[in-house]
Amino acid sequence: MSSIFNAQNIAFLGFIAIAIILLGFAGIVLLKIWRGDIGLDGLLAEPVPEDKPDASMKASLSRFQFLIFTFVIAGLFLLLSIEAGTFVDIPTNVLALMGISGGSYLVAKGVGGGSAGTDKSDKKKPKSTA
Amino acid sequence: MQLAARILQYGLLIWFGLLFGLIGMRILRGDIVASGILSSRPRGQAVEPERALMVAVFPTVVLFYAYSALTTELPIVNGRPSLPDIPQILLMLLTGSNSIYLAGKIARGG
Repeated sequence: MSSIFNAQNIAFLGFIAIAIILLGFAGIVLLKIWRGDIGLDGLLAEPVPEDKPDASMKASLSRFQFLIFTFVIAGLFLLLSIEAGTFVDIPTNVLALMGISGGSYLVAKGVGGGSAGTDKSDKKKPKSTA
Repeated sequence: MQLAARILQYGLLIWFGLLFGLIGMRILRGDIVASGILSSRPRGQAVEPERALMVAVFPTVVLFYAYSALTTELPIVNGRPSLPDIPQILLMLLTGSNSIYLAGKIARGG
């Protein structure tokens, strides 16, 4: 009896439990995306400004790039950590790559938001009473 | 334990594949807005060169890195396994294409 519950078996059972939870959670998320419970309509597009409700949504390239890089690097980190049996280190250049992608997204969002902001300031001008 | 790790690894790879397939299908059906990615105008007709450059560069970088990470052995850095490093030239390529994209975006007024 004591040989069944040794450290190795407990570690194995723990790993199996974590794997089932992780894959189960991933499966539920995928199922909800498939059924539409988790909406992906605005995944690539910037939200429509409040002052322009009739404006159409437009896909953002910097957002798309950030999404792809995040998925790929996080996915590789997860997969290779499982393969190595321990958390793997992330090289500085890969972190710089994520930084470039994220920084580009932020600047693009700021530039896009800045051009929308000038329209808002025009609307706040007081109307003439003449 | 190795078998369980392999199962989890392949399970996650399949999950990523299904997720990307689902997103791709939604984009093709039009449920996810993907139009206007090559133009700064919502209904722009002209493809802007800085956007076309970025669309050409970043998938190249992503595919190269993903391929090298999945097909080569993990390097050992300071006694610990590490993700493969990305070549400096690719980093410079990505920085350049992003800089040109942002410059074009600023020049066109967002």
